Formats: sequence, structure tokens, C-alpha cells
Amino acid sequence: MNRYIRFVLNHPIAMLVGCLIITVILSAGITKLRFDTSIATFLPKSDASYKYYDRVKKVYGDVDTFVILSVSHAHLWRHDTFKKIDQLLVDLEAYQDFDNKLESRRMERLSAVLAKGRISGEALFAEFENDPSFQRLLRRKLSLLGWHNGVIGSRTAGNLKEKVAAAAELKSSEMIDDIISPFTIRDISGENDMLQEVRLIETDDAGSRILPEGRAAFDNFISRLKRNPVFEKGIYATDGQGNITDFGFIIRFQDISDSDPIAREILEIVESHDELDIIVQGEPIVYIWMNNYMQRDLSRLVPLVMLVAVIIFFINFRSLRGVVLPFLTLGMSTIWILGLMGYLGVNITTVGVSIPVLMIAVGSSYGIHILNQYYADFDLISREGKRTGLHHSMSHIAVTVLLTGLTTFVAFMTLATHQLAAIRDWGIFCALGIIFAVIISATIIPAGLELMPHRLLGRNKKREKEKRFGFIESAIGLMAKVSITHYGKVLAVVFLLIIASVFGLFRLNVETELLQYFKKNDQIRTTASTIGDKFGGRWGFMILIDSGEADGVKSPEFLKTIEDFRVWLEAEANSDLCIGRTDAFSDFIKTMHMAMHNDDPAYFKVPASKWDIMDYLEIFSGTDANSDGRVDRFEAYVDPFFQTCNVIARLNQKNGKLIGSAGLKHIFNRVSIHLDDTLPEKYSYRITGHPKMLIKSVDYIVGGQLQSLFLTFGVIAVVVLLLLRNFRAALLSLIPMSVAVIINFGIMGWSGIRLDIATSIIAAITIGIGVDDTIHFLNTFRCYRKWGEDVDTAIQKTLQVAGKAIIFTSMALICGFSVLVLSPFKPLVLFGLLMAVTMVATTLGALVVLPAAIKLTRVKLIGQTCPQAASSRPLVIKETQPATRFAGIWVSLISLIRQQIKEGINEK
Amino acid sequence: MRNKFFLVFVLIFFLAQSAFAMTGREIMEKSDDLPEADTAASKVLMLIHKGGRVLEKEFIMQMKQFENDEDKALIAFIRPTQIKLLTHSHKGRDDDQWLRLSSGRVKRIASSSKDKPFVNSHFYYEDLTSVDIDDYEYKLIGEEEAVGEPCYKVEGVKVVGEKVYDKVIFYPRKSDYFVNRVDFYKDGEFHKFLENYHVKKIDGILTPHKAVMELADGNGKTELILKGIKYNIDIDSVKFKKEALR
Repeated sequence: MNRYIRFVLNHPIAMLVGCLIITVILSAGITKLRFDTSIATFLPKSDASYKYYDRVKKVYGDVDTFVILSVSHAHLWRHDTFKKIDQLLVDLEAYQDFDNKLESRRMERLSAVLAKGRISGEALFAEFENDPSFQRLLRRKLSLLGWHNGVIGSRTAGNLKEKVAAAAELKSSEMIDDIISPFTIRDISGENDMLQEVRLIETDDAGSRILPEGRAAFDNFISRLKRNPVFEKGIYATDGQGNITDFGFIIRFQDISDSDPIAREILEIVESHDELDIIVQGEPIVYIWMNNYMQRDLSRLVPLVMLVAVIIFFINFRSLRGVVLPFLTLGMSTIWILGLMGYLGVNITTVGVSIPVLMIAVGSSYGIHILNQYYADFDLISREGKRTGLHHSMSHIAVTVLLTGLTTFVAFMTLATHQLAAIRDWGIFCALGIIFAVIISATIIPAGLELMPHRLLGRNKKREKEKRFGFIESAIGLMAKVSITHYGKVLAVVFLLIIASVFGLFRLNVETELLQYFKKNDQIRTTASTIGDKFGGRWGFMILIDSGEADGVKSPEFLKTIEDFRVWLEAEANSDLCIGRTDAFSDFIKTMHMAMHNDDPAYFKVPASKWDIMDYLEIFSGTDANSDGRVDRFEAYVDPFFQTCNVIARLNQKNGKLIGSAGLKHIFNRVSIHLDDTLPEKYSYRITGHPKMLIKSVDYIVGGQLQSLFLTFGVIAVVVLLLLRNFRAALLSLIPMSVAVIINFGIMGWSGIRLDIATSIIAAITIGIGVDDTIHFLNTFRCYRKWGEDVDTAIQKTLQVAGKAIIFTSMALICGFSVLVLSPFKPLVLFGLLMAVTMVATTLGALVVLPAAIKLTRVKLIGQTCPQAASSRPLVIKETQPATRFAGIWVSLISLIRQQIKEGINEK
Repeated sequence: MRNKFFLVFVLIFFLAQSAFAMTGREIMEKSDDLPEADTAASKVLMLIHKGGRVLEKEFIMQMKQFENDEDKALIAFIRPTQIKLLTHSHKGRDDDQWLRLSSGRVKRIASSSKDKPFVNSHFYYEDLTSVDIDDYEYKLIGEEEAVGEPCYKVEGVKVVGEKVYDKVIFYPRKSDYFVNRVDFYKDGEFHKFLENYHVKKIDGILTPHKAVMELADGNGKTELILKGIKYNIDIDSVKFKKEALR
């Protein structure tokens, strides 16, 4: 690092230009950056339970998670309303059945029309008069491009072609597996001794739906809808008086884990049909909304965070360089890491959105430390000459920043083997970002200072500044007094706080519920509640009940067991299970039985005879497109050997109560206990589904973050052990962070803040940043002791020097991130709050608890390695302004490290 | 008597004739014009290959031609269930089909269900109806070997009744016009094909002892294995009445 700083100072322009070129190149990578909010990034793909889930999905399809649309209109029972609903369905179906020839023709025609030159929107639409579905797609895409009327510019035309081509590519992947709706569903009818599978809405020879027209036709449609009890809350909802108010569209995907692009397209289609009242819900949609919220709030609030940080920079340094250089550091760090991710094709996940925030935090921190060093050594630099002085000053601080950076780097890199791709990428790129921040801060600031004139504009305002920060002086004085003279009481208070926090820990709710992140009146929560009321829930899980033998599902006893289980699941007495609806194979048998008895609802039940069931299955006239032994419509509910029945239970947040990971665990436990008690011995069961995976993911994320958190402690202890060669000191170094963590979690417990995906990540970030406080304090203290000060004086002086630096850094981050409290999105609010809590806790831990512990334990921190060169520093430190007084620590620390390295080499 | 042929068991055979300059229609007429049995009774083993599993079913099929320009067929399953399917074929309109369950309950199959699989096999109800020569328009599209025999390739597009397939391609053998293979096209794609194997003369009538309906994508097939057949035996017409199903 010494050589590197020398090189930087010798070639400041080249280094700055180099950094600038890299920044420009990598900034182009940001344009390649894509957001990936897909569920796949959060699935524990190596976990045994996920592998089972994956196997189940291969047999039954992605049936537990879907997008659901509730479609309504003030005048629902009108032909023109049905036409509008049909258009919506046609637009969605384009992503279910791909017609390559048709799409090619459309693209060719569009290219030809646009190649003619400027064209008005209306003229373009007229070209596709006979292709209304494509016409609507063009309108949709143009609207997205900001076109509303008039001539389509050449740029818009080019973008339109790209968007249409992208839509065609998405269509070709046929991501939508099935759309279950009143307009598409088939029913089995046994009217007039005629057994037939009927569509509720028939199609003509061209495949177009023949929509009802006139009262009689609508009455017939309603009667067909109501004939089959399975359809209620499945594809239609009523108003409580039995009047149908909404149609349900259940959209299932080929692979839910990769549903992000198609879910976005569905949202786009839904928004374009604004003449209908459509509520859209489902797990893929929630993920997208959540991501949109985060992106929107971050893009709005991050600049504000930066602005506040800049203000803090200015207050601290009172100079242009004091603002520009740290700002460049954090700006470039952010661009480098995001640009690299873009070039490497690593998408920004829901967790990855926090990377820019982290870069701002560490960039600020490192920038402040290095620049503070410059101001601290200002007189020294003046004495030794600019380049030599800067070299001495910057080399020391750069190594320290490198050291603290490496500590944080290791903490984040522990996530590189994490089960979840999103957390793995997040850990790796946070770690790389830390390294970038170290490199940039150790390059830009020394090079910038080398090129700038060596004068201290801020010094003439010293008096005002000291006055302004008089409260800091007072606070430090109080800290010193308390920790030195009342260390026993301090530790007693800390002990009591820990006790209280431990009690708080027991209250800590380890639960993740994505909807909890949104305010109660947010559309994500209100629509989830509405969909739950109307259609029994927006997501579900699967209970696979194995009959123990091939064709065992065809037994009436087995099917009755399934029916009894479903009744139990949906019973009012078991409302804590939050089951809004269940679907199972037995519904088909019941429907067939009813059809075979002239649609008499009394026969909507499992027949008593096995022969009946076998006959129904022989004659059920459904298509088996993949020839796997099951009619396509059975695939979600029974395996090809008719051995296992899949009961799909839809989860509904009753009375607006959210179902988080803890709630899900309760449900699964209750279901397991019930099945253990009631299921005949020959049958067995397993529970799986996306909610089950969500619990696993949450466990992995929270566990991973906590693991990273505690590993950080280990890293700190090792670093301190390496520096001080004192085991007791290494243990002491853990005190501030441990206290901070316990109090942090205690506060969370008492205040009802849940330990979830967001808060566990926040804890890891903030504590990762707070790592260096402890190291600063211990080394400064150690050097004062070496220089002959007694323990009390050493503590006092350490607080005067290191304390202020720590307080300034914490202030910058606390003030900066407090801005996030303004967000309506809860995770960001929590980020701001917890950042403040943790920073206060780590600061107090390092500045009050640690000295009190030193007093109590009387640990000897007078190592033989404290550099002689630093012995002259205290005088310098005492003379400097508050923001720069701690500079001596760095000199001491760096000298110490250098000496350590030398000794290490000598020992070898 | 109206000449017909079943798609499943092509029971009508012709002597080899010169096909020089014949049209598709003429070739199919040659195939159709051959004499056929008035009655037939056969026992068939059905092997359904699906999803790595082979499901076995067995049925007895009786067929009788009536003078009132229709023929009737009764398929009675022996195992695994005892369902029966009665088909009345009509000229110029869709056939009627009834189903009798093991419990004795009888239901009529709607014509709209003709494109659905029969007892979960790869045969559709449509495939079990008889085909009138006039139901299709024909076009000779070439010659090709089918089941190891040189055949004509005649494209047929249904023009009467509900159209389940876009088109079918018949492969009548050059030697005797016996249809060795039929390709079925559905929704614009080659969907499945039927091949007749081990064709032997029984009572002077060429009879395939094995017929295989296989999906074009190779994902499944249904084999029909003839375990015994008798032609022109006395079968009581009452058996083919809907009321007799109960």
C-alpha cells in the first residue's frame, strides 16, 4: 500500500484519469443492468425440501402459485362488456399458444409499414385493422413508449419494433400454461341423458368465442356457471346474495420461478384494459410491486441520502475538497460495482437493490477517514513538504482503510456459499464493492489532494466549528467521566440493558411476510384481502396424500378420506389454518357423478362404488396431450399412476390478518398433526409448495445474515489479536459489537420490529460498517498507554481523539440514512431506523462500554509493538480541530501494522 | 348396401388393380368398393402405453351392417371395467354413440365429444365411427412405403359432419388397396398415425391382427391386438339397440 500511495502521488493525473476512464467504461455497464425480481433467486435449490418440491412440480405442474385476476364491470351482463373481457383474455392467451407463422407475418408487416417512413398512430393501427389483438398490443407498447397520438417518430418506431419483437419472443416461450376462467373452462354435463363436456362459452369454427347476447343467453351462462359447485370462488365470486359480481382468471405458468417477464406483461395487459375493473394478485405480482416500490423509493431517496451526506461532509471539513473527494469516492464505488454487475450479466435482485445504499455508506465512511487523516496531518504535511507529507499521511490511513475494508469484505464473502442465489450474489458484490471503495478512496483522495493546493480554508473557521460541535465535546467529556469513574455502574447498566434486551430477544418475532412491508391501505394489501374474500386466496400449498398403491386414488374410501380432510381444512373451527379454498381430484369424480345423475346436485359427492369411479375415469373425455396417463385436467391433482392425490389448499388472510413465515409454520404443523392422527395407516402424506419454500428461504436468509454477523465478530477478534497479540484484548474487542447487537435485537423485540429478510440484512450491513470503531479505540488506547499514559488518561485521550472520529462517521451515516424514514415502504424506513440504532449502539459500545470494560478487567494493552514514530503524535492531535484530532490514531495504527508486518517477516 | 370402412380396423380388402392415372378419389373408391363382412365379432386386447406404464384393457367388438343404410357396432369391455359403447353410423350425418356404465346407467355421447380419447387410449371416439366414402374429399399426393409395403398416398379432408381432424392421409397398398396406414392431422400439425400389422386373410377377408395408433411425437401409443375374429356370423340385431344396453 505504501508503494501504491507513492505511485498515486507520483502520477496523480494518470490515476485520476484512469479512475475516470474505468468509471466511464463501467457506467456503460449500468445500462445493461437488469432487475430480476423472480422468485427463482430466492429458492433454496440445493435443499432437500426444494428438490422434493421440484419433483412434485414436475408431476403436478406449478399449481400452488399463480396470478389471479378478479374481473368485473358495473354492467357485467352485457354483450359489449363480455367482448371487452374476451379481448382481455385473447391478449393473455397470446402468451399461452404461440403461432409462429402469425407472429412472423405480423413482424414483417410491421417492419414494412414502419420502413415507409413517418406514420401516424392511427394509420399504423389501420394497417392492422383485421388483427385487433395485435392492434391492441401496438397501442399498449406505444403507450409505454410515451406515445399518445399523432405521428410516430423514427426513434419511437425503432423502440416499438424492439418491444414488439420482445413480446413475440416472450410469446414463443409459451410461459402461460393455462388460463382457467368462465370463458375457457369446460364442464361435464349430463343433462337429458346426454353426457358431454361443454364449454361454458362455446367457440365457432375459427376458434372465436360465441359470447352470449340477450337475457336468455346470459341466464343460460349463469345457470351453467352455478351448476357446478366447484366454480364458486374458483372462477366466479358472488356478493353474498348469490349474485355473480366478478369473474376469476387463474393464470398458471409453465415455471413459476421464471415468471417475472410474463407477470410484468400480464400487468401491462391488465393496465391497458382500464375499461374493466380488474384486480390483479398473486405471488409473482407481489414480487414485482415490491421491487417497483424499492426502485421508486430508492431513486427518490438515495439522492437525498447523498445530499445529506454531502452536507455532513461540508460541516465536518468546511471545504470544497472535503465535499468533492468523499462524494467522488462514494459515487465511483457505486458506479463501479453496478457497472461490473451489468457487464457480468448479474441482475439486481430484490436484495441487491440495497447495494447502492451500502456503497454510499462505506464510500462515505472511508472518504471521511482518509480526508480526516489529511486534515489531522495538515501541519505535518506542511512541515515535511506536500508530497512527502501526503505520502506518510495517506499510506498510514490507506492501510487502515484496507484493513477495515478487508474485515467487512470477509464478512460479506461468507455469504458467497449461501444457498440462495440472490443472497450469494448480494454477498459477493457487496464484498467486491467494499474493495472498490477501498481502492477508489485510496486513489482519488490522495491524487486529488496532490493536485490541489495545500491550504486549509476551513481552519479560519475553527472557532465557530468548535462552538458548533461543543455538544460533542461535552458528550465526550461525559463519556470519559462515566466510563472512568463510574465504570462499575456503566457495566451494571449495560448488564441490565443486556438482561432487558435478552427478554426483548425472547419477544423477537422471527417472521417474514412480504405484505407486511406495505402500509395497510396500500393496494398490494387491499387487493390481497379482496382476492382472499372473493376467491379464497392468492396463493396456496400442496398436501400430497399417497394411497400406498397404484390406482389407489380410485377407491371411494380414499377419496372420502380426502373429502373429510378438505372439510376439516375449510372448517370455521379451524379458521387459524387460513384456508380459503381447496381443490382436489375428488371434485372431478363428484362432478362426473352429478353429471351421470342428470346434474342433480344431490349427487355432487364421491360415489360409493369403486366401479362407478373406474367407469367415470374410463369415459372422462378429456385430452391427454402429453400422453402421461392422465387427462390434462387431472394433472394438477393426481399422479400418472393414480396413487397420490394432490390437495391444493389456497391460503387466505382472513380479516386482513397477514400470514407470515411463523403463521405458515403454525399451519403446516397443525395440518401435519391432524393427518398424523387421522390418516389411515396405509396412507401417507407430505406437504410442499411455494409457502413451504418461502419459510426455507426466510430461514436461510435470516440464518445466513446472522451467521455473517457472528462471523464478523470472529474476523474482528482475529484482526485485533493479530494487531495487539493479546487474547484478552481480542475478547474485549467483541464487547462493543456484542452489546450493540444484543441491544439492537432487544430493541427490535420490544418495539415489535420483526427479524425478517429485510432487518437481518440491515443488521449485517450496519454492523459490517460499524466494525472499525472498536479497532480504532483499542489501538489508540494502546498507543497512549505505550506512550506512558495511565489507564484513565489513556481512556480520556482516546475518547478525545478516536471518539470524535467515530462520532463524526456515525453522524454522517445516521443523518444520511435517517432520510429513508420518509419512505412509505417499510423496509426502507426500518433501514433508516436500524442504521441509527446500530450506529448509536456501536458508538456507545466502543466509547463507553469498552473503556469501562478495560477499567474493570485492567487488561494490559501495552504491547511492545507500539511504534516509536508515533510518540510525537499526541501533541499534534491535541492541537487539531475536533474532526482531525484523531489522526494520530491512524499514524499509530499504521505504524503498528507496518511493524507487525516487518516482525512477521523477521520471524520468518 | 352402402360401402363403409372403419378407420380402426380396416376390414375391407380389394384385389390388386391397376392404378394408372387414377385420382385419389378413385383409389379410395377401389378400397371402398370391395365387399365386406355383414357381421363381425372380435376379441381385442388393448395395450395403452402412457407415461412409462402399460394399461391393459380387453373388449369384445361386434359389428353388423343393416339394410336401412346404417351399420352398428358394440364394444363391450371385459376388463378392467364393464362399460359398453354402442355406435350407430349414419350416412350424411354424425353417428350416434351411447355409453353404458358398469352400474347399468346409459348416457349418450354428444357429437362435440368425438375428438376426445376413448377409454383414455390414443383413439378418439371419432376413430370408432365408420367412415363413408363421401364424407371426405380426396387428393392423390404421391406414393410412399407404409408398414413395409408400397402404398399410394391419398389426402382426405372431411366434408360431412363434425370435423375432428384437419385432414387424414391414407396409405392404401398398391397391391390390394388395403389401407396400411393412416396419418391424422389436427390443429395444423401431424398428430398421430395408425398402422396395421400382420394382415392375414380370414374367411377371405384381409384382417390386420395388430393395429397401432401412435402419437406423432412418439410420446405414447395404443396397440390393439386381435385375439380372435369371426365374420358373417349370426348376431342378434337386438344387441345393437340402445335399450338393450341397460
